[in-house]
Amino acid sequence: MRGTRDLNRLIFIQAAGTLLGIPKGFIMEKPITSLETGNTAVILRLEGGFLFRKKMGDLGIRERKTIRLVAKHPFHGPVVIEIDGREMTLGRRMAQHIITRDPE
Amino acid sequence: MKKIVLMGNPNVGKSVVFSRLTGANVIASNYPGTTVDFSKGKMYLGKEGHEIIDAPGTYSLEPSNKAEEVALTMFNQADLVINVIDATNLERNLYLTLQLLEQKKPVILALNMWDEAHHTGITIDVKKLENELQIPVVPTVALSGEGICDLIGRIDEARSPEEIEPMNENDRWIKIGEIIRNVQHVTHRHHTLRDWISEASIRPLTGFPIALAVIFAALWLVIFIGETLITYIFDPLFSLYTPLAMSISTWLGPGFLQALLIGKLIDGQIDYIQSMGLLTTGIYVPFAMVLPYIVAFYSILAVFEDSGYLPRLATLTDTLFHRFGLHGFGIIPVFLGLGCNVPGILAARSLETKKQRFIAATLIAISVPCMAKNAMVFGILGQYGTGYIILVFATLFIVFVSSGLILNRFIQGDSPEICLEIPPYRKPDTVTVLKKTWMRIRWFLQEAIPFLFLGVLLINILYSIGFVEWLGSIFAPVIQGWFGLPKEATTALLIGFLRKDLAVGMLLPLGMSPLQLVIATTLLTIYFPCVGTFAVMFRELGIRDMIKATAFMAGTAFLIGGAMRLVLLGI
Repeated sequence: MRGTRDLNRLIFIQAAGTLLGIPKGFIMEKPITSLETGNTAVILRLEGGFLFRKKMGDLGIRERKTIRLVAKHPFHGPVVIEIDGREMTLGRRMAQHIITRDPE
Repeated sequence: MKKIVLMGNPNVGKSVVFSRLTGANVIASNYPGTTVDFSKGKMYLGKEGHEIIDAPGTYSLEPSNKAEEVALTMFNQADLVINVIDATNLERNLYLTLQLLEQKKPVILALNMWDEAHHTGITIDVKKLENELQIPVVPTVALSGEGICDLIGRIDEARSPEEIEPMNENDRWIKIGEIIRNVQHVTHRHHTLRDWISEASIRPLTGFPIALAVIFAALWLVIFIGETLITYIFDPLFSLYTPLAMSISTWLGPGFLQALLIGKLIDGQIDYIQSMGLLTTGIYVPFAMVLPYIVAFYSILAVFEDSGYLPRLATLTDTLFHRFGLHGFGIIPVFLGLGCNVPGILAARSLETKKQRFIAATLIAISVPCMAKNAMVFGILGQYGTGYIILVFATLFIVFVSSGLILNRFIQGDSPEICLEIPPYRKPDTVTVLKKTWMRIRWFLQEAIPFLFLGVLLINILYSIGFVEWLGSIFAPVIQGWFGLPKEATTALLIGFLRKDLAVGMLLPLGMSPLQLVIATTLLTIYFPCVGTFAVMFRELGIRDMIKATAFMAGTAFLIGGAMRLVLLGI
């Protein structure tokens, strides 16, 4: 359900972008879970409370870090990401709150 | 005497450094959360003895699970801290370092995995890092022992820099950023075969087939090694021993001592499983039936642990374990529980909430059979065919899954998601694997032999005072009427509290059909924990939750036993 919510949000943002005449691909903000497996992005922000941000920070998941999506498990399963050459497994809900933009 | 505490992030090699410093052996593996309790050891600097403490890993000084709480307690008692950090992951590791320094305790830094950093193209300027942090920094490779002498030699230099002030999280990261820019240089590195294997084994499409293949191979290897050891080493040894035991038996003559030491003779011969004497069954069961599989299981487990495969398996099983209120890391306590439930339940400490720890401990106690018991099931049911063994394990698997689903529904509390670091694959070192296996075998022998002897002794006493008959008739309605087993099986269930392996052995003389044996051996896992598991559940969960868990076990055993009688025996 949450997966579709993200997708819906992305579709909505992109549709809004098209209506406003912004070319596709220009709107770059998306949760890490919407990335294609193997692709890289830069963390824009962590959406959540203090504890969530602390937990992510402990693992080195912070704003402006480059992050790669290594694997995405089906049935709302976990995702595997890579930061600073380190792989980490995160629950889907947590990963959905890591908002990224395309790398420059 | 100073208290020196080893602190650091999970899976940076603190336990290996500890073993190097103290000469004491502690279990170390390649996954975060191996150490869940502290170990103490002694080290001499010159003539002065110091106490060294190996603490569980922690990412910061604000604990998020029970193991991290232990780490914080240890830190508060420390006179001096050896901060072990992973040189391949300097930036993140320095966060804890800064927190430690802010607490104004003398710190020395061990820059561990120095060789791996070199291989991955990371260069760190040690002198500059010392200047930045104002504490001694020693590059080490704990696995090979490189740099450990330097570390010992410089412990006296450990200090607490004066200028450091308590900072907030953001300021710490800013400071770390500055340090990293000054001291670290990373050269770009191409993907290697190791990276490729790493990704293949964690992606769903390739990961699941790999996991299945790996688990089947491991299972096959355990059984193969176990059987080989029995056929070619232990059975021949015992056939050499038989004449000696027989002559002891004749020398003793009929009487209490013969009954106790040698036990019942079957057709005038010693039957190592059925005789129930201290010098026959009492040593045959632990050495010739259980030990071979313990050796096999723990050597394979050590390879699994040290390779770094377990966190990948945890990722693959996460979705399933979520249904049980756990997350993928739960597979690690379950794996350890397959050896012995006690370390399995201890490993549940790395789970974040009380709910998760309760579910993990209960699931292990109720449906994860330990290797000692499995060995007996292989030995006894194996002669009737593999199908019966599979039947036992399939039933236990069903119990595992349904108990998980039920407990998740009815136990109050949170079930946080998985958040697990995946270590790089490492080639397990033969010596380390052998050492670790040996430690666990020794632990098994120390724990198992006294209880086995006690069990055999108790069986003899209970039989001679007629307690067994009496107990059998009391429980007959349940055992006979409901489970469809002979009433003498009650004694086996009673002895199962001491040693489940011995209890399985006690089923053999009862002349049961293979399907009755399947029911009895399955129930022996479910109905109640053994004394060791009972004690560790009491310690980890507290008395109320332990009673809750055991009540759940007894209830499940009742239902499953009845259902198995209906399905398997058709009566």
